[in-house]
Amino acid sequence: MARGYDVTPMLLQPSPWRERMRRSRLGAVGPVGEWAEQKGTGTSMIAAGSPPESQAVMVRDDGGTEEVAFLGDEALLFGCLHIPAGEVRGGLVICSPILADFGANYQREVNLARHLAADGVAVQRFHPRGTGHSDGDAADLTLQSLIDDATQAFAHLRDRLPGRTIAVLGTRFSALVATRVAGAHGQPLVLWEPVTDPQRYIKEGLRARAVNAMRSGVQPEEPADELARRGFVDLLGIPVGRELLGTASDVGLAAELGEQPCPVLLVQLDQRDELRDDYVALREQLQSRRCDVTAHCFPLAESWWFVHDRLAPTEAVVEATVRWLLARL
Amino acid sequence: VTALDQSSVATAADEQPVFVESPLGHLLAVVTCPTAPSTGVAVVLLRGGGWRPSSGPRRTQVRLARRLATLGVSSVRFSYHGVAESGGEGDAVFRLDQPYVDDLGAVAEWVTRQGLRSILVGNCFGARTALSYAARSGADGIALLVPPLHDFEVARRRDRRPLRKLARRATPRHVWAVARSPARRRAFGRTARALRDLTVNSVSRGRAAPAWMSRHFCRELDATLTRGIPVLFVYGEQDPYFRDFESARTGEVGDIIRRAGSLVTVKVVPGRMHGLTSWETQDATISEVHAWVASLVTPLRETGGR
Repeated sequence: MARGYDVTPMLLQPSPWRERMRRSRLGAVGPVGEWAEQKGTGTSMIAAGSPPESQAVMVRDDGGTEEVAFLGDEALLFGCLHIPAGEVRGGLVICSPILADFGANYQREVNLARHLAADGVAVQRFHPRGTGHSDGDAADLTLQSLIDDATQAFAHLRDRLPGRTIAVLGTRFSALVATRVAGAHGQPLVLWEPVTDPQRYIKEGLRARAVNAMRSGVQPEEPADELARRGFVDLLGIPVGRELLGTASDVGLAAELGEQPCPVLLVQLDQRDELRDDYVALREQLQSRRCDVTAHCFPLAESWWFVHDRLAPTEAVVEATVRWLLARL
Repeated sequence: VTALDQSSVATAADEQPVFVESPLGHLLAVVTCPTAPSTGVAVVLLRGGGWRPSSGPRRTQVRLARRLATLGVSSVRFSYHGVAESGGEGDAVFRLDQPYVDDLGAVAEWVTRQGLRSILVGNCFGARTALSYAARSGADGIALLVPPLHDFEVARRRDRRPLRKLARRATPRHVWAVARSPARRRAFGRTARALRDLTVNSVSRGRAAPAWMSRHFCRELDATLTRGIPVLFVYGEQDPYFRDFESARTGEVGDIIRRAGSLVTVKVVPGRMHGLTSWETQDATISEVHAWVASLVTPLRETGGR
């Protein structure tokens, strides 16, 4: 069993720092010395003028640690950093998928991170703004906000692992994000069931919403009408804003990669056991950019939109990904 | 939430992750601090079964926790052992007759160590866990969001799945597949026990409850209310579990609720709550829970938490 401890005692009363952060977001920034005046009051152990290092740490059986913390200065990101016990051979940033896929893939990502950490790879996971425990509204989530958050998580891990190779993994829609971040740094890239056409992905989501509404005996509102009425579309209980809905079809995975070639692992999680046409085309596009592409297919029976959380297939996908990454880090 | 309240809704800056030690592994909890003077109460949020993080289905736990902060209430949302960031080994199946009381016990004890009183808010499997814990150890209130009233799905659906359908599946190939797989053998054992219980319940004389009704649920609800703990039920009007609840209220559950009088509040929100696949349903659910918690803590607030 893992041993754990929280490094920071809890502050269950509103703390001066939290109050300052909150007022800062509301545009009521206090004087610079405000926080310093609070020190010595017995309410906090935090150095004057600096925010508390509010993180929790769990030490695993193998000596590796998992640090959970909110990252950033303004809109905070929930992050979990898996740190190996011994020498670190490299890193991985995991870009979680969004909408219904976020929960569906979650445990698979946790399992991957723990396997990699046991093999000497540090892994940074995080919740993008508007998802999970992070700040922000789901309706404000856009491709650009996802890229900004992934870039921040990448920088956070790079600061901890200077000079090491840091791979990036993206699943479904977030494959676009991972591709942009990995491409910018020429790092190894892992794509799990990537979305190659954002508009088709959104249409699939709207179809799933219509099916869900019909099952409830309700006539779904036209997306355009709903967007005009309240500024977002309710996609199976998750508000999707205008910008994300309008993410253009011409945003393509290969184009996101930029000019730097990088090794790519392409994982298909679909009903069929051979690479489908859009992935064959993607592989060719990536190879034409001098990328070394490895492809794996793992049969999966369910629809991504209707299975809320899924464990299988996990082991095979995790094993294949770990093997591929260890050969490149 | 009014515009004035919105300005004091908590954000991640008001939150802190913490690992809570439990018998089955360290549980990752996210604690939301109050943005108003503290009432000395913490709401413990329990999610349903599954492998998603404790942000809950569609972030409803996050939204609820951050709104409750405006009442001067702390919140703790956590992942069960083996789930998401929590340590320990998870089970392959979440069983309603085996709620994760030890996990909740560890979190509730942690809350007590902070000098706070606990109100439990559980969704589906989490509701059953909250009820089970409250019956044994007490709480200052429990909100049960779409709680199932059966222990085994196969039992509740018995009327829709006649035995001959199960018998038709007993082909040599299927039997061989079950015999070879430990997981499927365990699942078969659960099904067999559920059908046995169902048969026993069906032939019992004088039972004023549906045959699929969980005896654990009745016993625990009775014990909780006998302790004087306020209970909130919230269902979606389209939830199959709400139909079960209505059916059960004609029998033993109804008697227990009537005896409890004003301790029990029942609210019905539009749509289907299980899965929370509608924004309106989420909003309505959050509002009902927020209002109920406010009704519990307002007297505390007025007396300065005494």
